[in-house]
Amino acid sequence: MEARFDLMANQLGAKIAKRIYNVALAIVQSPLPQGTQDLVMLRASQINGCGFCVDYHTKDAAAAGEDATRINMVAAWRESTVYTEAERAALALTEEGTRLADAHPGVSDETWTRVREHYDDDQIAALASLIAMINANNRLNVIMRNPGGSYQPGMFAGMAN
Amino acid sequence: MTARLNLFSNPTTTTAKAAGYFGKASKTILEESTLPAATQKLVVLRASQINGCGYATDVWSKNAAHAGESATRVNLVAAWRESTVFTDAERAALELAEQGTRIADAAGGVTDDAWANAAQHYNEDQLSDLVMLIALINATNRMGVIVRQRGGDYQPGQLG
Repeated sequence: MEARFDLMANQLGAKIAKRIYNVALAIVQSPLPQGTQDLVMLRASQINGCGFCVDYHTKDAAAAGEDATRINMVAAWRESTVYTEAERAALALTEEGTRLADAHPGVSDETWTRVREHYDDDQIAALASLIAMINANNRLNVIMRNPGGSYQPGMFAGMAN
Repeated sequence: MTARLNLFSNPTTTTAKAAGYFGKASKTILEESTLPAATQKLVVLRASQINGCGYATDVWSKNAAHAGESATRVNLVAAWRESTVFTDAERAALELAEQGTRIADAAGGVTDDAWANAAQHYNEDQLSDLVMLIALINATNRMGVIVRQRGGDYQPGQLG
């Protein structure tokens, strides 16, 4: 199964991909905990069925030392004992911010209040941007049908400015 | 975090008796079916993810890993369509599992395409077992979610 289109083989595509990567890097360097960032990106990618991103973020999480149980439980986090209240608030925001299509009511005040209780302004700026960016990346990879399975942690490090 | 209700705490109840039959039904499929054991685990994991059942997601991701399944395959079940690591037969079973799980509110049921695709890869006995397995895991997921039996501390070998 090969991707329909190789974004990196196209000059404009490669330029756009590099900029997307560097936006992601700004978020990675934010005070939002890296473990939370991995959970958020994984959950959005599962909902969007993005194989490439699920592969990417499960392997990155494992490489960063995340426990296999915590990686495996992300799809059913609500009914799990292994996440903190702060992580659960971030995951709730991720789900509501990802399932926006077709007259969905959007993000509830209740979820937003929970997020506010656990994160400061810098972290919230990073979290909202992270949810937006991972959804954009999911779309990009699903549209191109870029399949998951062969990601190696660190393989995109060369794209940093 | 304890469950709202322990369904099986009292061995003399009707529920405990019914659970015994239910467990035996599941065990019969898991242990005696010619449907590959790895495929069975992928199917029950996918249904449990869709239903958001923490308990069963914990059980089956750990059982799969314990049986030698790679972390990449376990992790990609949630996005199997866009993955290179599953065989055509496994993909057919996962499609049937998704459609058979998402039947709520006039969703349209299982398509002829999904069924024909599964029938290309599995014989009638295996197809029957697959239908039973999808039905049983969906029932299990409902029990887990209704009583809020949360996942996280399962140890491989405790079950099946």
